[in-house]
Amino acid sequence: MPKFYGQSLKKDLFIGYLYVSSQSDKDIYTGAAMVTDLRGIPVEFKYVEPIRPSKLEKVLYGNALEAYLKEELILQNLIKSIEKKPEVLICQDPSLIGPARSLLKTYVISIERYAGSPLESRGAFERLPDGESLLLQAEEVGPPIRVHFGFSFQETEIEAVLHILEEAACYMDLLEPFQRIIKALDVVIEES
Amino acid sequence: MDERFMDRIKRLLFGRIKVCSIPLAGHLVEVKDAGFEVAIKRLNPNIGVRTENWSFPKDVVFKVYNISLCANDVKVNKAMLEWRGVDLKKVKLHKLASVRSKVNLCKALPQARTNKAVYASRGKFCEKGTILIAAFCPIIRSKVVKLVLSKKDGILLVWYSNERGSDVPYCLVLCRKLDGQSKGEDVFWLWVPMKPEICGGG
Repeated sequence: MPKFYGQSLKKDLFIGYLYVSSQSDKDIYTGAAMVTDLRGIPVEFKYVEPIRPSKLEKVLYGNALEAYLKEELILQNLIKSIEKKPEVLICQDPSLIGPARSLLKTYVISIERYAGSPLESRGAFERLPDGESLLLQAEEVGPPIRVHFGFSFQETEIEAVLHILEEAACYMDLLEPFQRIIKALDVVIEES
Repeated sequence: MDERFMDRIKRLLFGRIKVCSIPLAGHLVEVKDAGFEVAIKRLNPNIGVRTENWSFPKDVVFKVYNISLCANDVKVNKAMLEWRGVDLKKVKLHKLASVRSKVNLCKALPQARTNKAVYASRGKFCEKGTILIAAFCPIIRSKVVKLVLSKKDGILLVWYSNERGSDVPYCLVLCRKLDGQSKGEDVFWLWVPMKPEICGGG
């Protein structure tokens, strides 16, 4: 697969970020989806207005309340609202990969920074024993990332996803957009 | 205990006494008068019919439909709690979430870059006689509007413009000269282009 750098940045290639927040101490549930270009510049940002479940709702839904709010209310509405379809959707919570995947016809993954030492070169990857994730050295300068697929993945899928992540990592920090989403949601919650 | 209730129980028990025939071998026995004592050994006082004494809220009525009697106990077979005068209210559940757009808020937020000096190979970024203190990358230099180094967190905040231009990524490195005798600044910033060979691109 051809690798490009610098001048040949693909302007029509987008990465989606999905963040669902549950502040159980404050009883506030919210979430946001941000779509960025390969430079990390946002082209779309959608958020769910903070939801404060009532006491009655807590009783009625019981233990299912969190799953209901996160998966059915927040996730579904956010994904439906996304206008710019991303090539890859990155969820902050691996448990959302499955539900998001059923709603969006694109690659859905979750990534996290890996504390171990870097792999030998950029683009190198190692499968992890769980069969559902792998380590990828996406950046030349930086730690590897752990990529969760949430299911046993196929070779073609790995190749496509890793290629996009490698490309994006040349121009942006792949995990950084979550920090901006959290800051933006803090502003939204303060305003609500 | 209420006398009428006791009478009722006695009558019920009488009705359940089995009458067996005894072969009298031709003797005729005439029973003129017979009496029967029914003693209730144990009766759960909580199952009094006086429901008004029960500690239920005003709107709740305890109805006992059927009382069956055992030898020394009373069992309630069917009972029902009924609410009276309850107003039905429609409860508003969160069925729809309101989704809003605020892309300008996110565009105003800076991107953060952490110090990756620990992962950077010194030779690729610094000249001889210098040491690498910090390395922030990738940064698209031509798009940078403002850079702020947060000394508290050790992160570099980067504001980009939306204007088009070259997208070549750079690494912004902070180096220190090893020779203390040298003239000028000992610590200096340097933009180092991330060449394809560095990133393994083609």
